[in-house]
Amino acid sequence: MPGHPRIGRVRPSYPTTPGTFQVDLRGLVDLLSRHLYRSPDVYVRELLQNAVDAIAARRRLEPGVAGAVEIEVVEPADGPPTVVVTDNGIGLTGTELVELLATIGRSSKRGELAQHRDFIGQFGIGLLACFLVADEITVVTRSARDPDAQALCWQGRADGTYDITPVDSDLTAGTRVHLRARTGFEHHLTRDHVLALARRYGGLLTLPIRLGSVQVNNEPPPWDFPALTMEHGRESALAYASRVLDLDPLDAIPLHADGVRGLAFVLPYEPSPAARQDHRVYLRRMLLSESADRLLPDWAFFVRCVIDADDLSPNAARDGFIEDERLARVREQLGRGIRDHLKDLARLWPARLAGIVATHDAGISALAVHDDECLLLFADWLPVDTSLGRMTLGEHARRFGELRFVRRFDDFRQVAPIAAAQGRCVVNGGHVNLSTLLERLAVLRPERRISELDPTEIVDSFADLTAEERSEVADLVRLAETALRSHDVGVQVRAFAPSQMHATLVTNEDSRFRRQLDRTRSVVDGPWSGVLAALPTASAANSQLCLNVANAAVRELARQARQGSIMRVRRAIELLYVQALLLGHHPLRDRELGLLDDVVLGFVEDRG
Amino acid sequence: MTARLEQLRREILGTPWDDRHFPRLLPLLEEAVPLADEAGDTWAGFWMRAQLAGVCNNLDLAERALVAVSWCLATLDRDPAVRAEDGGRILRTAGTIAQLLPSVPDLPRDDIFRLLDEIERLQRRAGMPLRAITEIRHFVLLRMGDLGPAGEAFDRWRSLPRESSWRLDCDVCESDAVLEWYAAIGRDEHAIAAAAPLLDGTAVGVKEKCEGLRSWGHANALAPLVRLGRLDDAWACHRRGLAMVIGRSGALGEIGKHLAFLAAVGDLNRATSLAGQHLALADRLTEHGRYRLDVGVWLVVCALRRHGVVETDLRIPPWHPAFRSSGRYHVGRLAERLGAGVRSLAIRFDARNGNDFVTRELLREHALLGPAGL
Repeated sequence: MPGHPRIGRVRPSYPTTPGTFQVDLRGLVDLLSRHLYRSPDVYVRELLQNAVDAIAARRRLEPGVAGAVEIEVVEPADGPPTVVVTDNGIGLTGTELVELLATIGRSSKRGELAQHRDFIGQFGIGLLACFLVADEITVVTRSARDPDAQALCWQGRADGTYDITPVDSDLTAGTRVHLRARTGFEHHLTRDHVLALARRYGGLLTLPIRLGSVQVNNEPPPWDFPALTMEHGRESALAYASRVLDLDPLDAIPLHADGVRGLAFVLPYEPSPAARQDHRVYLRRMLLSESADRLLPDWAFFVRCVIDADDLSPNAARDGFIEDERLARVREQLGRGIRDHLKDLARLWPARLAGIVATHDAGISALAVHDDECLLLFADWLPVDTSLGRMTLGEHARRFGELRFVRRFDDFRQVAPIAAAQGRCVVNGGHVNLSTLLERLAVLRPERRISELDPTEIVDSFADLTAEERSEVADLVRLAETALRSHDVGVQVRAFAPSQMHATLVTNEDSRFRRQLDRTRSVVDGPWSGVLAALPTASAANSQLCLNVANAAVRELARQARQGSIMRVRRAIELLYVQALLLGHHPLRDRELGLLDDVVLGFVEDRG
Repeated sequence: MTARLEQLRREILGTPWDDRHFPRLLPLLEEAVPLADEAGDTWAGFWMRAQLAGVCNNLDLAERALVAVSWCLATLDRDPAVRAEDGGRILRTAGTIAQLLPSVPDLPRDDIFRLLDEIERLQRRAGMPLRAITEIRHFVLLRMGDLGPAGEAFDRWRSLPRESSWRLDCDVCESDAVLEWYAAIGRDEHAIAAAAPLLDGTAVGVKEKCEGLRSWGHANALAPLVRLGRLDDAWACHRRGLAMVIGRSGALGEIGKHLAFLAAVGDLNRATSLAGQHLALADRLTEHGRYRLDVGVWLVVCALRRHGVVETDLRIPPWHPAFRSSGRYHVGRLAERLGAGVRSLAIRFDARNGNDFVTRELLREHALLGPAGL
């Protein structure tokens, strides 16, 4: 085939028989330390876990055996520190030593034994964690399966080599692991550090763990505190959070799910909903991680929890759980527990719930936009700004029944003083997410009668003038309509509170769009101007300047209009119109800017 | 930037850019635009309007999109700093928004094509590939019933090279456009064959918003599938497509097509409930923006009448011209009322377009209900 290289028969320069992968153990350990484990300190967790699992295995063979784990730290003056961890567990035979210790990834806790719930480990890479801090691991072990078994010593090195030799040992049955600190890692094997790590990882284990003469684990787990509905229980839980989590939570919530128990603490500050949830998780009472994520539903971002799980599967890094159906079920159950607690608070301790929502309302609102359950749960406790002051939605419902809201800040600014003077409660929906939440709540809870208020409705609600009053302001209305006709604004005169207000400009969404359209027409040319010219223009019906005859200045204008002071009244009307535009943050069109110029000039000339 | 404007900017940036969130973004952007102008912040005014144009485009608010994008283009012309900062993005948005032009009956035909020429000129000047604007021209011509020139633009579009650098090589977008074209010229089998990768999910949108066109593809395929007698495929297409758009105020046109399908196959309980649910979401739309949805509702009511239903409960919202406070409607009278509305709008479109394409399309959809006549 032209164009293709010729293939000849040549002897290859590489082996052609099947082989096995070569593993660079040091490289693998470095990889683990950088990418799998968060810190070299996890070696203590792995050693404790192996010891606990070995004792569990021995108890299957000899029920009732009293298990114990002893830790010893030797700190010679002229050499690196050594840590020795001894358990009286099942021990290992020679075959098991080869199979389990010298084969990365093989675990005694797989297969048949994996069904037993009392094992914590399962990946067969736990011992590798010891190479994070030591170049050599020595394991002395005697199997409990054979009363005549000889003690064996397995010495593994970071270069991947190992020896097994029979030794004399005082171990009756069990395993003793010796680690000597690698250069640069001495700190991780000092006594104080090892004691702190043993307490951290094993502090809640039930097996006695001692470091020298010190009992490592003597603290009751927080989920065993008395019922949290009792003040005493709650205080103990809050004290635990302060001591262990360095947190002064707003509340403590008991958690129960299938094979899971724990506590959730309501954060005293507002975290970002997008922030990681750093939960403290235990697996069969061994600390797995202090920064586990995805344990709770997203909406529960405002709590931090401490849980102990029997059945959840840890991930390989052992800093969290594998995302599977069990975890999903537990997550749902834990979420339900938090919800139920909050419902109880609403019923029994409303002040406590109000405090929680007051701290977390922004985050709760952000979540409630997407989560109807969350919205329904918290709605009554969400604070809102209204024309009659700040209150919760629940309080609003109790006091006023129907809820009317305006969507925009500017509308609220326009409507609030008038509504307040009338004793009407209008909610400011311009706050982040609030109008979306209210619209959703209107669908979910139709009995609450929640609806948007078109600001023009406010004017419609003003009392009509009497025939006599109408006659008194007729000239003013006529002049004002003439003055504002070219601005597409209608004019009304009504009496409304507060009387200090001269006028209000009421617009709706359509009139605001038409103003934008007008403004854009003035800056656009070419083919776009033809397109924009074809769009319908502003209608006075959508924009109304409502003059307040309850205001003394407006009454004076009406009087002057009756007396024929046409120019002065007209100028004042134009001024009131521009003032109303500015108060409502409406963009000024060119002709309104011109109007302002004329008014100012007029006043200056008058004074001159 | 004022504190409120900054607050709005943060909230806008923190809100996902998708169909579900467009209704939420709209009031935020509409509040932000005058604040940016008031603050004299040209870039903020430009940026807010560019976002607003995109949101309005997705919510079928044609006039608002046109106003926002035309302001942006005028600023682009005047302000080199804005031009440099924007980097041509607004020209693409303008092209997309040009697709909305035929849906506004007040816009004169000549102005629409002048505007298309202008956008093409600007894109050419900016060195942009012309494939997208050619497709848009084809689409505009099709919507205005100029089938001859639309066919020429279709061939020209298909012959231009696909441009991955501008992400103009989207299989989902193209499948939908080809489907619509073949369906419009009566080649239903070609239409469904062209849409197969879109319908079976093998075509992947290059942008998230292109995936939005997958739902249009499902809606557009319904009528051809019914005409071809492939009802099982049509049902599957309806179920998948409806799941993508149900409850979305930015997808009321598609909902209209699903309503037409349910009317054609006689699932009228479902159709009535869907109609009420989605009419409530159309409060911001103009009558012509609501045209496709109203056609769907009209067909459902026509189908009810054919099935001998005399009265029905329908959740028509108060702002709708056909609203009655009792919520109970005489089916015959409602069909007449809705029919008059959509027919008069179709006539307005046709008068502007200079042909009878929109009315014929309306009758063609009505014919799916069966041979009993109007």
